[in-house]
Amino acid sequence: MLTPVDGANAPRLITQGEIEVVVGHYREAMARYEEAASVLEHRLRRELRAAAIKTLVLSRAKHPDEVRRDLEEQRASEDPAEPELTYNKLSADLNREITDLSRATVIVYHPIDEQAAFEMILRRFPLADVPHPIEHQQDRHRGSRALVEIDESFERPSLEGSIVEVKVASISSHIFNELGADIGFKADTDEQPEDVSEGIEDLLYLSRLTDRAVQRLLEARRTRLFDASEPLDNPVDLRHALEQMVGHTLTGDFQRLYRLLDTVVHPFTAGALAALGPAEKMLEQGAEIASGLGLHETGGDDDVLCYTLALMPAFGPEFQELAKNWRGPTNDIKNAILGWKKPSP
Amino acid sequence: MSQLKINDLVICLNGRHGARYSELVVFADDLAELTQLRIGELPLELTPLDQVGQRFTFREQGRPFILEVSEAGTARLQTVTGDKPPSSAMKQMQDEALGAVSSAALRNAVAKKGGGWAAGLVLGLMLGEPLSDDSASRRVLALRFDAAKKRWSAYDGGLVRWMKRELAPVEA
Repeated sequence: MLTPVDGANAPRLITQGEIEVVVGHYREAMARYEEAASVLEHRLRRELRAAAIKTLVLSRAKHPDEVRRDLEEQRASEDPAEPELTYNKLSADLNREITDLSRATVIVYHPIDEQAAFEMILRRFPLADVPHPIEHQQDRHRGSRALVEIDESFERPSLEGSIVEVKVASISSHIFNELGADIGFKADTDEQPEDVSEGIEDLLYLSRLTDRAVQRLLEARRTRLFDASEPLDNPVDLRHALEQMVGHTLTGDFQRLYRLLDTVVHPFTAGALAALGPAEKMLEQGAEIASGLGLHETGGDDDVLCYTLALMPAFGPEFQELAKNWRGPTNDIKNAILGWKKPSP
Repeated sequence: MSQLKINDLVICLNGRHGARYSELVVFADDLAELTQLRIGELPLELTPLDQVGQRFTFREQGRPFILEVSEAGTARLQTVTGDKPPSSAMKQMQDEALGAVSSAALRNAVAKKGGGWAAGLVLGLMLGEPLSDDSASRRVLALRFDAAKKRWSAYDGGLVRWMKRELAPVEA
């Protein structure tokens, strides 16, 4: 913890010297922030892969120069009579005052995937107990932000309580957000040189154009799955095919479901998926079975788990044998499969 | 070294998940009886069903089975449905004819696995009924054989897609 310097107890605007003390302490503790960001990055990558959402995940700790710059900017914008940011607050818990010291960035193909990825994060990660842990931007900047807290589920006691800012954006929005923030929005808009303003507008146009092109590509891939003989080559195809059948986005561990179905169906195609039964009805059946197994909460928001349970009458013995051999920590879908019992006739 | 015997295939087909599966396909080089066939020796329990050494029949616990060897490198054991067991008109065969298909099957199986194949890894694919009346897809189960314990277990490792392609190629 940081130690207050003499006379720093009154609620007054932080001084430049105090900012330097804060930055110095942050520099000393930076490895911990990097570690927290890295731990979250690994977990994000695993969960997003399971959810069959293609992403690029990056993480880093904020550079001390950026911390200094942000504090100076905030200091300049504050009312000296009633300052929000004080040395006392910063020295008590730096991470709760500056919540983006550890950062992870999730870059998805398209804004549609942004929504799916962000919803998954809200479902699977604990939010930090701070004001405004969730934020969506839908103006020129586009993206979503969540403040996640490292809790005991990460099994890293030394990092517990650390807050990591997770930003989710499409590829094109990410480029616009980064360049726009770095070059375009530093200066006051009125004073922005004309060539910079034009460049930013061009970038915005290209960003939206890229989103439309990516959308066409994704739709082309999804349309391919209308053909019953089309093989489902990976968990992403499986997710798209099922989503097409039900007409809305679905949640859950598609990687696991793909592995299960690919092991027991041949050839595994869009047509095979249709032959297994109407997905919407199966999801309803699965939710009932989940409820019967006491998985009320999970059953409500884990579509893959519900769908898997609906497949159990047809593939129960096979799925149970496979699930028994799964290594690693247990999970909801494994518990549900192993807990399922064949209904008595 | 071949680690499977026909009896291991029969036990698997008889014992797993009732009547859901009617066939079990393995790589030819894993089946000991095919090594015998290659050198022209007909295992006692097998009766040829053709003149090229491709299809054989035998009975196990009173139940008839068909063993089919493919030059592509596989051996397929099928349960025989219906009342009438297959007739065996080809009891006398030349050694050369007997071993030709098996020889090609063994060669191709080894080639498919490659020189770096994990020692002791024995895989099989059970084939069952179609998913529905009008479906081109069928129920299958990928398996792995533990030679030490003489036991089959379900397999969902990284070779599943390759196994399906090689052991049960989809007809175009």
